[in-house]
Amino acid sequence: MSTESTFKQLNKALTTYFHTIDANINLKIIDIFNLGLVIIAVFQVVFMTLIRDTFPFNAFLSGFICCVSQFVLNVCLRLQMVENFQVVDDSNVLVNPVSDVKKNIALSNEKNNLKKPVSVVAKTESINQKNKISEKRAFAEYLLASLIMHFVCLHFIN
Amino acid sequence: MLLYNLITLLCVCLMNDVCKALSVHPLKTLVVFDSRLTSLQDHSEFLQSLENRDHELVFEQVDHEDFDPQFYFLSEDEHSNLYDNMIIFPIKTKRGSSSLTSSKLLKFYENGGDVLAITSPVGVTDPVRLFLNQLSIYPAPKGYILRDYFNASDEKKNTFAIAGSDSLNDYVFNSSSDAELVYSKGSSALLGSSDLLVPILKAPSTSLNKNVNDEEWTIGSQGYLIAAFQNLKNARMTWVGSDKFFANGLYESNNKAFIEELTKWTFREKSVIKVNGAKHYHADKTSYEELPYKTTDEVVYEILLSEFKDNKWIPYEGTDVQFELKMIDPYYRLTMNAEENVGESKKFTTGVFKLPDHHGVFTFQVDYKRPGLTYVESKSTHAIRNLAHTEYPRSWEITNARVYLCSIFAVIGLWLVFVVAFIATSKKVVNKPTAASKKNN
Repeated sequence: MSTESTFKQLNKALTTYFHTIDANINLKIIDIFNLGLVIIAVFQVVFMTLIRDTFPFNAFLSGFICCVSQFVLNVCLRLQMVENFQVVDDSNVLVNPVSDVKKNIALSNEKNNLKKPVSVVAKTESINQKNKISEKRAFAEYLLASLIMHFVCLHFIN
Repeated sequence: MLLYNLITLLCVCLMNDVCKALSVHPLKTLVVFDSRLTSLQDHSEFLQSLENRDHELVFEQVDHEDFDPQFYFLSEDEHSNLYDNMIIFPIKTKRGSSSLTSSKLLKFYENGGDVLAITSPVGVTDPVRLFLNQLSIYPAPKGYILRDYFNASDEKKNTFAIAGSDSLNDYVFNSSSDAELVYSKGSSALLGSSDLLVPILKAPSTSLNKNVNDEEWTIGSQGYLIAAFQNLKNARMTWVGSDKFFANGLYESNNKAFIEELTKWTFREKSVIKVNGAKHYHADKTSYEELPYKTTDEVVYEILLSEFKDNKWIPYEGTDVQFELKMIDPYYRLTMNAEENVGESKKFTTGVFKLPDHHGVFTFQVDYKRPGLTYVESKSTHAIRNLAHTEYPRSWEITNARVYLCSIFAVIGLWLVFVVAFIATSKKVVNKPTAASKKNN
C-alpha cells in the first residue's frame, strides 16, 4: 500500500515537474544545463578513479568545483525564476502549487496566447517589484557571479 | 740563479726526507721494557725490523737503577706527545707507576700516539691493564695462562699454532697461505662491545685461559689473542697477549710476516686512507655557487680517496664507499662507483642523481668508517631551495590536467550556449506579455 502510494506520489511529482518545465522554457534549459554539469563532474571523478592518481589534484579540484558551483548558481537562478512564477500563480489563487497543475498550465497558456487580462499582469508585476528581485536583475547577477567563478577556476588550475 | 738552484736542491732534499718516512707521521718510537721479564737480545730481530723501517727507537728500562720515575712521554701541558709511537713490553715493577699511569697512557693515545701494548701472564701491571680496560679490552690478570690441551706442541700445553688465514681483519693482515703462527706462553682477553674495536686474532676453540686455582678467564673462542682499537682521531692501539710471540726464535721461524704487517698497521704505515677533495655540481657541470640547488635538480657528487701503502700515496681501491644526503636522516645513501685515477687518488662518483622533492638544509657527506681502515669523513652543508611559483609546470603541460582543463572549458562553453538560449527564450516568455501590456497601455 505504502509503496504504491509512494509510487503514485512520485509519479505525481514527476508529472508536476514536467508540466512545470514545459510551462516555462527557461526552467527547462536551466535543467538541461544542470544535467550536463552533473555528467561532466561524474566524468572527472570516474577519470580520476580509473587512472588511480590524484595528481594534479588542484586541476581536479578546479574542474570539479567549477561544475559544482555552476550548478549552485544555476539553482539560485532557477529559484528566482520559480518564485517569480509562483507569485504570478499566487496572485490568482492562494493554493498549493503542486496540486495546482492545471491552473499553471492554464495560466501559462493564457500567457503564451496573450489572453490574460491586463489587470492581472499589471497586478503581478507590481507585486514582483515590491517583494521580489526582478528576473532581469537576477539574471544579471547570475552572469556576473558565473564570470567571476570561471575566472577563479581558470586561475586555480594553473 | 745559484740561489735558485740551492733552494731547489734544498727542496729536493726535504722532499726526500719526507718520502723517507714510512708512516703518515714521524716514527720516533718509545720502547718501555722491564729487563727482568724482557731481554732486548731476545727480541733483537723484531726491533731490528722496526729500525729497518726507519723507526727511531728510544729505550726506557723501567727497572734500571738510573731510571727516573718521573720520565716523560707527554709534553708539560699534556696536549702533545714527545714520541710518536710507544711499545710497552710486559712490566712487572711498580717503579714506573708514578709516570706510566693509565690516565697518561690514555692521554698519549688521545693525542694521536700509536701504542703497541704487549702483556704476558707474569707481566701485566695495573696501569697498562686499566688503560686497556678503558679501550674495552680486558686482558687476563696476572697468573692466567692460555693452554690448549688438544693441539699444543709442548708439554706445558701453552704453545700452539694458529693459521695466519684466521686473521679477522684483512686490512691488518691478509694472507691466503696456510703459514702458521705460533703463540706461546700467552694470555687471552675478553672484548667489550665498542664499535671502535678491531679484533685481530681469536683464541682457538679448544683453548682455556685459567690460573693455578683453576679459575677461568676465557673459555674457547670467546677469548682473543690479539685485538686492536682505533680511536676517532685514527690513533691505533694494538694489544698482544704474549711477548714470546715476538721473540727471536718464533719471529724467524713463523711469525715474521704477521708481525711486520701488524706493526705496520699499528704505526699507521698501511691501511691509512685520506680524502683528497670532494665536490658536487649540477649534472650540466655548473657549480652550486653559480646556481644554487633547488628540489628535484639533477646533481653529481665526487670524492677523491687515496691510500698510504708501501711508503707512498696511491689511489684507494674500494667498492663500498657510500654517499649520504642528509637532513637529520639520510634521504639518500648511494654506493659510489670508482672511476679514473686522478694523480695519487681514485675518483669515486655517485653519477647523476635527482635531489629529493623536499627543500631544506642538506648535508652532502661521505662517512666512511671501516674497522681496520682510518676513518674518513667529508661534509658540506648546502641549502636546497623550493621551487619559485613561476617554476612549477603549467596545467597544459601536465597531460592528466588536460582532462580537467577541458572540462572547465566545456562548462564555460555550455554556459555561453545557455546564456544565449536563455536570453533568446526569455524574450519569448517574459517580454511578450510586457509588449502586450505596453500595447494595451
